[in-house]
Parts: sequence; structure tokens; C-alpha cells
Amino acid sequence: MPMSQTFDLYLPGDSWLHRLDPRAKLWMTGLAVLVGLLFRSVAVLGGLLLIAHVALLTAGVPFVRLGRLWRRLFPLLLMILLLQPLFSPGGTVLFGVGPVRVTVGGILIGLSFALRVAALAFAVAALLLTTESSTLVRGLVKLGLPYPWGLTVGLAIRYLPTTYGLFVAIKEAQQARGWIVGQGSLLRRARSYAPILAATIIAALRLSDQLGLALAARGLGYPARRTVLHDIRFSRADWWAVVLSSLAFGVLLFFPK
Amino acid sequence: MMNRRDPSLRAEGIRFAYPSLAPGAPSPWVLDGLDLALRPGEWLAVMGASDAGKTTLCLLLAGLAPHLTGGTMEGRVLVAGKDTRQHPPPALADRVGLLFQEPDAQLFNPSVEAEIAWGLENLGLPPAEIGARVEEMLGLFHLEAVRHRPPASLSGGEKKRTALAAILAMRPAFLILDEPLGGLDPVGRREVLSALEALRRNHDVAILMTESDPEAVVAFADRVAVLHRGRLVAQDSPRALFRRAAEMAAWGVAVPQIARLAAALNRRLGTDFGFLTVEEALPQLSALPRGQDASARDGEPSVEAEPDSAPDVPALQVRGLEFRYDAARPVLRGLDLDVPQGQFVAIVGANGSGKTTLAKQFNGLLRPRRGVVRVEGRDVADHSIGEMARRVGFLFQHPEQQIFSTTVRREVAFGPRNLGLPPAEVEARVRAALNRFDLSAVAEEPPAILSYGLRRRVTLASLAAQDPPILILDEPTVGLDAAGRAETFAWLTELHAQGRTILLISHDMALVAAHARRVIVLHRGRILADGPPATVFGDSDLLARASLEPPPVAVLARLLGLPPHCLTVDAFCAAFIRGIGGKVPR
Repeated sequence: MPMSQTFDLYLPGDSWLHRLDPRAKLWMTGLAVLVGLLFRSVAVLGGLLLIAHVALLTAGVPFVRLGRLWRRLFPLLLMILLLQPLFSPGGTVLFGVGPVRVTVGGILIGLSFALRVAALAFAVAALLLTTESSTLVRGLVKLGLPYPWGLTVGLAIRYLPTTYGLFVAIKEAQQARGWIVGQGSLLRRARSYAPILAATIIAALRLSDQLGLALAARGLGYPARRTVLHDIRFSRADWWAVVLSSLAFGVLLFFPK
Repeated sequence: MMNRRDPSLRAEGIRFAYPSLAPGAPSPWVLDGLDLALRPGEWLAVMGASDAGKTTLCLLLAGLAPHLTGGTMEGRVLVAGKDTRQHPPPALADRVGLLFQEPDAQLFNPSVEAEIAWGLENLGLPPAEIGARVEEMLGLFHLEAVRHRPPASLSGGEKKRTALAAILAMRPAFLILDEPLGGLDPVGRREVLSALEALRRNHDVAILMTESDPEAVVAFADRVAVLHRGRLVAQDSPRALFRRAAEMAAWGVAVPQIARLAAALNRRLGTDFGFLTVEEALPQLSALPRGQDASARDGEPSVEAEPDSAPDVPALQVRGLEFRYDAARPVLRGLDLDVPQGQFVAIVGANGSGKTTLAKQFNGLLRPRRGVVRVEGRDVADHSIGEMARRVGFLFQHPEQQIFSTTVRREVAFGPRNLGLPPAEVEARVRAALNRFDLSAVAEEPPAILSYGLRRRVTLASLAAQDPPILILDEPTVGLDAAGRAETFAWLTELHAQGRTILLISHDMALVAAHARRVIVLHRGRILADGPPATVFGDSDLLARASLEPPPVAVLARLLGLPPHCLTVDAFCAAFIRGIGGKVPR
């Protein structure tokens, strides 16, 4: 089946970034997101974007993979670059068409917005591409998230492709019975998905019923304190990563936003 | 008598009904007064028709029902003396393990290793102990090579082995396996059979398995219990039970093909054969003195010489077909094929050989990368899926999952209505299809709440109402009991007699051998063989190369030197009896 791959972005590897404790990576990603949200400076946001790229490339993530992410972001970035100047005027007027005026300030704001989106996307990608979802969940549980919540997140990620596979199989079966999918007006198109979604929901409910049974049969909720086979440990490198990134963040706070 | 120290798994006077789906409507007893004991170390098979209550019995014995399913229960289940009503399911997890039918619903961890460890982590075992048990299970079920792979990416056989390992790692005293071989291809089946063999050799665990495959039951079970409409109607050794062929058939239970052969020979020759396997039958049958020319081809039926009155335009035609989902994995690698109108063709091959991918080309669900696909002379490339649906009817795998309508009648009418037929015509077709599949009584009920067997019948009725000249069926008998399989094939035989073209994809070699007039073997995207069943099933090298197994009767026929068309019990009997001169010497 073509859709058997997982929706997990994770790229297996054994780089420095892969080896960092998920909690350390969560901390760093959290700081990066804060920087991305607090700062409007093109230099800071550009720097953040650069750091995210360096981290990804030194972690062995291939160029192609980064290119794919850029291509996904491209329409969004283009829209921001084109539209933002129109709605946030300021500074020297470059040219105007009717009531719309394009200004240097507007272009700069557009650029910083686009950079912010790209920087945030790549900072989060650096986390997700190098951390298996289960490891991430384990980190969150260690940070105090109750295990059933962590399990729920893990299960949601696990069953996305399964549910999508069900959806595709059902869509094909309905089409083979002469049902026309995704043609005509928007309303018609939306309606054409109704029987497919109905069948998918019924099938997914059956699956989740069974999953609930399987979880209990394998002892979820067994009256004992849960242990783990491969526990995650905060090593010296993790401490260094946390300390250095926090220092950098602290220093950055003195710069103009 | 109810000794608290009793070490067995025991059901006493069990009655069980699921919660009612419609308020006020009474809910039927799925299990209706049942006593059963699974003693330490024994291997018990539970057989029965698809609506007999086998899965419900598994859920009750594992203590999951009624805790998690709701419903009404009478009587009690004791797991080594512990009443399941007083012990919630997780607390029993280390005593009784359950392998579910559906692999996807029980494999939810990111790797095989994590899957096996998960239950042990719940038990709170020390990590060193967990690690040791994981290694032991990986070794026992030969999963070392895939230990880091996500279970969802594994083959069917690997998935079942992983699920089995995850349960056995918890070292339960009782293991319940719900259709462990269900839905597997021949390769997966062999893998799981040898896993069960390893289990039997190396572990002292009591096993209860529901299994519809009688050959597997013969190979493993010490005792067989037959469940019929929620009651135990027979309990005995496999040998004793499988001799009662008529009763077993009435209960909807399949009997090994070789046992059916014994019964047929006994009936015609007045003998008293009781063999169940090829190995048992061979010495007994070859001991009978046979005429010199037992292998003569004289008695060969003339079915292969089908009347060549087929019109010039083939129903299905494929030229130079190539297809791939992604560049790294070509799926179809240059196929040429003609299926004349009215032919009954079977496509066989291991999983991944390209069977389903080929079938989807015929109604445009997939489009060729190279080559041409024609249906009744028309190039599929020029037509939409909707247009093709008029000519080609499709039954996909797991059709019961594709049901969505609010009533059975609407579900069956969905196809013909999409074809834009006049309302009177739609109604006539729906009525005929409901009658044909005995669904008129449930016509106004929501199909989603019907039993598995009935939902499968709804899908057949839906296809019948669409009434296309060409039918493509992808594994139509998976998950069906003996009665359901017979019913499906009776319908296909009817359609074939009416001149419909049938393309059947199936792993069920006994049925293929009995019904198809032509067998195409696909192997890694190419046609490896194409010919009448006798030719294809007579070539053991070819079958081995394609990871296929001929039906047991065909194996026995070859070992006895009978002619190659002896692929069914009837053909075998006729040729064999002729070979020994019509009677057994006294």
C-alpha cells in the first residue's frame, strides 16, 4: 500500500541532536519559539533560521528534506510577502495604486513576518525530525504529563495513517460502486465525501473499541508502578545544551526587539 | 466442586448479551448457557460458524467482557479460581493473554521491541527483566531482524508474531488466540504456524484458539469444542469430530479436505478410513492394489475445452502494463493478458505480487504508467471511474468496512442508484438482491449493527444489485465461515453460468482449484504461469517459487500418481476408485 508510511516526521539517525534528551530539545525549541514570537528584528529572526538549518544539517538531515519543507512553506511565505506590505504601511512610499500604498516599512514588516514563520517552522522541524514521537511523549511524561495523556498523544500519531488508509480504501470502494467523488460545485464536492466519511467513522470506531480492549488486556492500569525498558537520562551534554541555550536567550533579551 | 485452588480457566453456566443498540429492543443472548474448562497445558480449539459467539467467548474468558463491553452476563468465569467479575481486566493481564483477530488494533507502539516491552512495563517489572524477556521473545518468534521497525510496516505474518510475542512475554498461564491464522497469505500462514509450533514446544501454557482453518486445528489441538448459536454442541478429539462430517457441516464448521476425502471414499467404497492429513492418507491409500494405468489420462473431464463461442472482443485486455507507486518499487512489470467474455479466472500469488494493483487498473482506480488496459474493447484511460463502474463491479477486501447507509435497503440501492437507473429498475434489482441473499427480514435495519456474517451478505447483495457484466472480487472469502464460503461460491457459479466474466483474487487454493477455469500466477509483478488449474497446480516447482501451496487433495493425488486434474474431493474419488477397479478387495 502506498500510504503505509507513518505521519511521523522522524528521520532515524544517531547524531548529536538525535542523542539529546527530548526534554533538553523541548527546552531549546521552546526558547527558539519564544525568540520567534518576541522578536521582529530581521537579523535575529534570520539568525534563528540559520541556526535551525545548521542544527538540522549537522544532524544528518539531507538537503532534499529541507528543500521539501521549504517548498511546503513557499505558498504561505509568498502570500505573507505580497500581502503584508499592503496592510501594514509605514515609512517611505515606494509606489501606490489607488488607495493602496506600498512602503519600505511595509516590505520590511512582510519580510520579518515571513522570516518569523520560516524560523518557527524550522525550529519545530529540528525537534520533530530528530525525535521519535514516542521519545517525545516519554519526555513529556517525565516532565509530569500523566502517562495516559502521553499514551493518548502517541496513539493519535500512530493511528493517523491507519485511519487515512481506511479512508482511501473506502473511497475507492465507493467509487467502484459508481459514486462520483470530488467533482462539481464546492457544495457538491463536500457532499460527495459524506458516505465515505460515514463509513470511515464507523470503521474507526470499531477499531478504537478493539484498541481499548487490547490496551486493557495488556495490562494498562495494572496495579503496579509502571517501569520503562529504555529510560531516558539527562546526561552532561543535555545540561550543557540547556545552559548554553538559556545563556544565549538571556543575552538576546538585551538586544532590540 | 468450585475449588478456589482449581488451576484451570473455567466458564460456568455462561450467558451473555451485548448492550441493546436501540432502546427498548431486546438484545439476544450471544452465549446461551455454556460450560467449558481449559486445563493447564492443554490446547483446545473452538470452532463454529461466524455468528456462533467465538469472539465473545474469548472476551469473556479473558475477563474483558462484560467490564469493557457492557452487556448482561449470567454465570461466572474463573481464571485459576479468580472470578473475573471481581477482578478488572488489567489485573488479570499477567494470567490470561488474548491475541485479537485484528492486528492493527493491538500493535500501537513505535517498534517491535517497544511493543513486546509495553505490557511488561505495565506490570512494573525491573528493566533488566523486561530486556531479558524481550530478547527471549524476539528469538522465539524470529523477530530479531525487525526489532526496530514500526509494527504497522510489517507483513501480516510478522504482525501476528509480534502480537503473539507481546502477549506471551507477560507469561500468562492461559493464552487465548482468536483466529490466529485469519486473513493471512500463504507465507504469513506458514510463519504463524511455525510460531505456534515453537510455542507448543517451548512453553507450558494452556491455549484456547478459535480457528476456522481445520488443517491448523488438526495440527495443534488436543481437543475441539464446537460452538453453535451460543452453545457448546460437541467436544471431542479432532479425529473423532472430523468424522462427523454431516453434523460439522450443519454447524457451519469446515472439515479438513483430506477428512472430506475419507468420508467420500467411505461412502462410495464402504471403507472405514479415518485419516485427516496427507501423511496419514498416503500409506493407507497406496496400500490398496491399483490397476497398472491409474495415471491414465482417459478419465480426464473435458472442462478445459470450454466452448469457444466467446465473442471476439475480450472482456479484459492488458498490453505491456507497467505500474509503480514510487520509483523505487515497480509493482507491475510488463503484463500482457486477455480474458475472454464469460471466463472464470483466478489470480493467485503471494502478498505484494501485484494482484490488487492489477485489479484496480480495470476500473481506473489506478492508471497505468505504461501500456494499455481495455475493458470490452474500450481503453480505460478514456473513461472515468464512474463510467467504468457500469461495466466492472468490484468487491474489495474487507467489504464489511465499507458499509455506511442507514438501512440495508439503501445500502444495496446505492450502486444501482449511482448508475442512474430508473427508480422502478433500482427497486426491482434491490428486491431481487435482498431475496437472493435472504436479507428481506433486515432490509430496514442499519447494516452497521448487523453481525459480521450478515454484513458480508449485504456487500454481496450490493454487488448483485449493481449487476455488472464483469466482476472482480478481491479475497471475497477472508473471514467467512464454511457456510459463507459455500454461499459466495454458489453465487459466483450462478453468475458464471449466466455468462458473466469473473476475475477472482484469492489465497483459498481449494476453492480456486474447484471453481476457476483458468489460473494466473502473479509473481513480483509478472505473470509466472497461466493455464487451467490442473496444469498450474500440478507444477510444484512453480508453486514453490510463487510461495503458494496446492490444495491437500492435489498433493495427495500427485504422491499417489493420480492424473493432474484431481484437485477436488470429487475428481480425486472418481479417479482413485477407477484406479483400484471400482472396489476394495476383501
